[in-house]
Amino acid sequence: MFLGFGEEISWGQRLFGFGTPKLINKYNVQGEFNLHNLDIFNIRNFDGNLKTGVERILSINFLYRLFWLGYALLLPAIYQFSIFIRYVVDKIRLPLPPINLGIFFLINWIVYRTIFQFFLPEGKTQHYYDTILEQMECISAFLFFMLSIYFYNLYKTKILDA
Amino acid sequence: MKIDKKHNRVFMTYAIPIILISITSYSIYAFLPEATISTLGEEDHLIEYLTAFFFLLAGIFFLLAFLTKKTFFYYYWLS
Repeated sequence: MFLGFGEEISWGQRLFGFGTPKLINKYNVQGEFNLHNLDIFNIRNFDGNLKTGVERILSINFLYRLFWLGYALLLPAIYQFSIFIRYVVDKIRLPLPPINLGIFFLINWIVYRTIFQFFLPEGKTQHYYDTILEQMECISAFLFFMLSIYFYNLYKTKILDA
Repeated sequence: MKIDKKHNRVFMTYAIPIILISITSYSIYAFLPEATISTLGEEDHLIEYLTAFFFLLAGIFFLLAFLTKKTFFYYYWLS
């Protein structure tokens, strides 16, 4: 989560006004001091075109989606059926999201895709279409925030009960 | 029955803000002009700063939860 925070604000580059090192600048699509806009992770190439196929799998947007899909939806689902997964999760005491909160990640993505595909008018600027992707990421960050409060309240209550 | 009601109340505590934030966020396409929407989604503008802010808050509360529960990792690496 802290990595996500730092990356989103390019580790305070605008805030503190420091420049981008030459090496990072060379490989960063937006010329910023962060990892997620490096050519290998960015959703677009240097020429501004959206990546496709295998290249797209390595994009940070895709990896982030895999992360929330795995952690907030698949893990709680598999936990119910797999003895091995249940043993590992319990052993390391990994906070397991409740599936009825995890499902909101999927709903958020479905709403985003639906609006993007069927409701946005054609012929607008690129920024106009990029905004909805930023909104989807913003809501997913809010969902992680809600999850973190859920875990905090859960553990605090358990300790107080004990 | 009491447990079910309590569980539902807890769930709604989290679900209501999520639904309200989502509806408010996506409804801007119905109300705001194109130029405003485009500006909001640009780098270093409101939506990106909000995303960063939520990640920061999530990080803080995950850390607090971690310190409260004292997980496997806490015992083996930090204690």
